[in-house]
Amino acid sequence: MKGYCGVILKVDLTTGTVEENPLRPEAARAYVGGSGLAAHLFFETVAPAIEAGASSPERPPAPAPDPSRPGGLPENDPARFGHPDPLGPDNPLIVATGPLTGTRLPCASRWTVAARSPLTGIWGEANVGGFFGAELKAAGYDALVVTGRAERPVYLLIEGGRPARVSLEPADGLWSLDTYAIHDALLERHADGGRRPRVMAIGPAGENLVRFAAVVHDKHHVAGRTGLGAVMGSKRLKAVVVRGAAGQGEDAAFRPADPEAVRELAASFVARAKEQMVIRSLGEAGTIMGMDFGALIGDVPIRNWSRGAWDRFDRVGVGAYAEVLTGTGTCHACPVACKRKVTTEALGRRLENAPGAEYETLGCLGPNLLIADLPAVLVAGELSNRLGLDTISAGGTLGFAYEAADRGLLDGVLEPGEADRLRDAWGDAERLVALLEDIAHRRGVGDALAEGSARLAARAGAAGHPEALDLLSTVKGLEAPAHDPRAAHGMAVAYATSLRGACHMNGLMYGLEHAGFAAPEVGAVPAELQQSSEGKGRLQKVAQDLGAVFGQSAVICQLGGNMYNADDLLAMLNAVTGFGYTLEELMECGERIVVLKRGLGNLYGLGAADDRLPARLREVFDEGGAAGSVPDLEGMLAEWREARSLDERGVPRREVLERVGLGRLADLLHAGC
Amino acid sequence: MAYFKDAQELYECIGGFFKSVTSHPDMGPKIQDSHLIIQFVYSDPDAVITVDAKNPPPEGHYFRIIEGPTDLSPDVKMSMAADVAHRFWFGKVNLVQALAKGEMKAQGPIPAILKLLPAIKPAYEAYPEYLKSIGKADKLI
Repeated sequence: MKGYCGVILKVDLTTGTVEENPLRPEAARAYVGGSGLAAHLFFETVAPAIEAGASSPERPPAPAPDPSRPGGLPENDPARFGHPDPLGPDNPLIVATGPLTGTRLPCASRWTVAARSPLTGIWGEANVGGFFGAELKAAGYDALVVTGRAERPVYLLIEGGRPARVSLEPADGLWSLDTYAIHDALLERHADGGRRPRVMAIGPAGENLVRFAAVVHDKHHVAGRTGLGAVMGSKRLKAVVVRGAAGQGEDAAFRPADPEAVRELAASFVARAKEQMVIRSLGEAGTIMGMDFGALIGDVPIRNWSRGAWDRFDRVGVGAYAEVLTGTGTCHACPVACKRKVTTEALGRRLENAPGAEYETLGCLGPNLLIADLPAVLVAGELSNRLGLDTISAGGTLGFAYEAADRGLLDGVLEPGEADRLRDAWGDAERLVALLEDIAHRRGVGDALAEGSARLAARAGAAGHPEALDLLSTVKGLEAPAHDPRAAHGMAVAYATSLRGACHMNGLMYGLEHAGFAAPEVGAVPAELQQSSEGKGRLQKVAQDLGAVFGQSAVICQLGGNMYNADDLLAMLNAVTGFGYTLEELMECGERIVVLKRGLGNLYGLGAADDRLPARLREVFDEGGAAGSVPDLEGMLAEWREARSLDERGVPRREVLERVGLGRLADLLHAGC
Repeated sequence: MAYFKDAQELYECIGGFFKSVTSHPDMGPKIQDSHLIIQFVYSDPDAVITVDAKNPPPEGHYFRIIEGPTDLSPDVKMSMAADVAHRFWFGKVNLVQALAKGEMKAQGPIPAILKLLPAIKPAYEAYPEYLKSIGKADKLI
């Protein structure tokens, strides 16, 4: 098999055993890689227990969809149906690369971390750039499947070669280190092999099971979303260190089917990256340009998504950033270099040519909390990386909590002193930094915040303050990233139907509406107007299916990758794998991956009623770039449901599941129907 | 049909609007602070408007506008069809898409261009008002 190593490494932390399993070519072709392959491996791992649970006479009835569920958090009793508790030993943590990962093809070496999410209770995934994925393939593995729970903290050491050396090393002395310190300690410990190892690790947030803890690679490449750092922490897995072997790279372990074609494609894409205006902009301004573009159209969250305008965007945009910028960084084989390095100081902390926050962090910790002090937001972002926190969920949770506390909705929910710490906190960078520390260590009010905004709102609701639910930005329990659906209506249906909760990267709608992506060869054509809902439900179906391959399974960057189209994707995948895909087959792969993840969500209680936007994101602004803008969510959802062929429960129909080869899942989802 | 029948009308509408901004109390100082020379090159009809925020402005203005050819060397050059420019000032152009599709072309330091976006945001409301004020309500879209 070309383009793949053909080997999956399975690690059982409970028994301390490791084994190599083959990656079946038919699975590689059907699920491509990344989170598609991860979802397949996940289902294969958990299905036997779910099937046993489903046939149990004690099986409880499936809950009816309940629109009042807090923040769209699905009803998900962890023990129901034999499903793995997200923070239990049976929840498989999967790290997966794609066939393009590690090749010289530009903007195509991302990798995925996946598991059942402790934040949302449904399918969780986060993809990330950097160099870890390329190194894992250079070590001879396409994916890792980690189950069980170690008795004491450990880290996994993988040293490539044939045979590879894989070991579980004690991490007692490394537990409690932040992600920078653990990175430096492990590099120092394993620097003797000639080739620099790569590290993915958790910080205190993951160790303390913060439900939005991130996995951090090389200090600033972050698999942030859905709390997968907490899954690592629950397994007492502090880090994974991987070092590839000489000769294990593109020319050996995962040699492409047509190396010459790969070289030609890579050369043409590098040239395109230098010419294409949006990609050039990304390189020159970084993702921070989202602040300046977003401010024009009302895309940036302001004060917990409650305001349409703010007069301080110039203090946190590209112009202000230029004053602290001291360098750039990149990922494997990427000519764009959108990563920023900054030198600045604030709140008694100094950043010296340190990784600089990207747009999402700036948006969620800056305007969302009314903080216009760029150095302070950069310090807060860097601290979040050290602690191992998802800055999107952290910002979303704090914004919710500040507003709820100001309105007295957390009185009787939190201890009196704890609620006071959240009051009048807008614009207070010093308080933000202290609260991030408290969340990561679950200290004081941080313990409640570490559960995420939907659970905190549920507590407020149970304490007699149901109006707290109206302040949430969550879909399916996941806090929204810094893109307002009122500014670009496709994001409304993208959030509502995202497979992992509110997310702008769970499909290609963001690229289509915001970043110049277009793939007319499969019907993915951006609408002329962002603040129009026309046709965007149907567009979302295409954006999901193509995106499931493009950004999630081929694991192409959805920033630099906006220079590509579907034909480019096809050419890259065929040059590397030699599978001879057609566009039709790729779109079917996308559909298969989408309905598999959707079906996993359905197994965990997700229903049609969960495909919605929170009340806060449906309020109408009377000022700013999105003033008066009202997405026609119901219209878009109706289009999407029809195109997606879901039944009235929001479950993929049996015939769809069987057509894409998911009969086993169909049996679980349609038992008794 | 094109929004502007000739260059004269474009200068009257877009050029005149730019001139009105030179003394705008909010936008004016921010554009002045950029210290840039920004040249807009339009087609259909062909026209050139240069925003000079580098050299000293006339009294009572924050920067100056030059219509037509100039010897000034621009730091930033933006090229686009006149219709795209007109729609842009109504907030009806997806800037990133326009750049991606080549409907707008930019030469020069991109961060400098982006830095101006927050400064010009109020123009979305001001441009239609300006057109109305000069009797060009037929240009509203």
